[in-house]
Amino acid sequence: MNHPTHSEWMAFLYGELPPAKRREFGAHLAGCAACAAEVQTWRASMDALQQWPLPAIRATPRLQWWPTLKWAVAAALVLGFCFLLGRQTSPAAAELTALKATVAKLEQSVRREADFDPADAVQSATTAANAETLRLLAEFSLLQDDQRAADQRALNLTLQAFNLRLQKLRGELETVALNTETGFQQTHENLTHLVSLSLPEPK
Amino acid sequence: MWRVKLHDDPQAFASLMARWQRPIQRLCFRMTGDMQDAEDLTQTAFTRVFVRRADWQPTGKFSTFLWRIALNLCHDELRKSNRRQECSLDALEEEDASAASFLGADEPGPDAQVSARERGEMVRQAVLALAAHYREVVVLRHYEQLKFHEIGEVLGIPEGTAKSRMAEALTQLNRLLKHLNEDTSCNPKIPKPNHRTQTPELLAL
Repeated sequence: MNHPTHSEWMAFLYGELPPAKRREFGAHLAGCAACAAEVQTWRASMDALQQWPLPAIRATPRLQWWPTLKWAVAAALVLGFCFLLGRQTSPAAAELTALKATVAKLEQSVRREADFDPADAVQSATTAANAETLRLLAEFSLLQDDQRAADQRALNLTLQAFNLRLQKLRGELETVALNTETGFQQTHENLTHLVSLSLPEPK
Repeated sequence: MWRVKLHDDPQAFASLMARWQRPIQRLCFRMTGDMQDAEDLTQTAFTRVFVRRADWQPTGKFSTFLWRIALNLCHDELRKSNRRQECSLDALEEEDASAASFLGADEPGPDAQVSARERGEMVRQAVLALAAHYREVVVLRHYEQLKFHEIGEVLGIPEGTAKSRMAEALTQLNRLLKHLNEDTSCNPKIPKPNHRTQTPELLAL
């Protein structure tokens, strides 16, 4: 076996070699004075390193808790007293009460919503929608009937007015016809008379 | 994370923080060597995660996203510290106190405790003396137990590169800690920490 390198000896000394390799190195060490001397040197250094003790590591410095606690309790009492005093004397007390009532209502509302059943709600909504639809249809039908009757009445009135107008026009037309005929006769007579006057007297 | 991204869920973000706060804090501490900086960086990291939540892709692992942000912040902090050349005595004292608190009451006697603290401090200085691109591999592999392929994903480098960097880092550490390994009672001659060095890969992130 060749002499192991320094790096390999480090792995040996610090126990990072697999067992088979470790046995092989041990055997080499037993038979090689040069390597044994070198390893002995390193082992001596390793032993020496163990002689540098770690000083007692100070724990995290403890707080002087009693004075701190005393002042903390005093501060808490003063703060609590001021807080209560402020709550009692504050004009916002009434608002606070109202706010609490609102919160209670909201809480009830939330509870109701928590009990909410979607199937029932859909059924109720469908029934209500159907009823509303029927009601609207009935109203629409009545409105249509009323509208139809009104239209009929208006049409009848219009027809009556038209007939009256027609009769009146007929009367007027007959009058005009009579007048015209009378005029024609008068004209004929006038023309006849005129012709009789224009003809020479028979000799 | 997707709840944070899509709904700005504060509870989800709190869960993420509860899950990842300690690992990120450990990482930042190992990278900067300072617990105060680590705490600040951890808070900043989670703030940045929230700000950039839109950048996170659900196809990628959240942990990779988070490690990368935290490492970037660490590098930024190291760069700023390098400019300031800061050396906070307070931090050193706090570290000493922290190290003391780490050692339990059932530890051996005062001499042993002092000796352990000295060894720990030497290792800390040695780790901080590593270039940042070596240090981050050491921290992620050795302390945070990430596999090499995971480290490759976080840093955007091949797995083999992560392993070779680890080998080089351990070699350098051995040299730096020679005094510690041979005789823990002697005064170590460790070079000045080079923890301000910027890693090349994460600059692009």
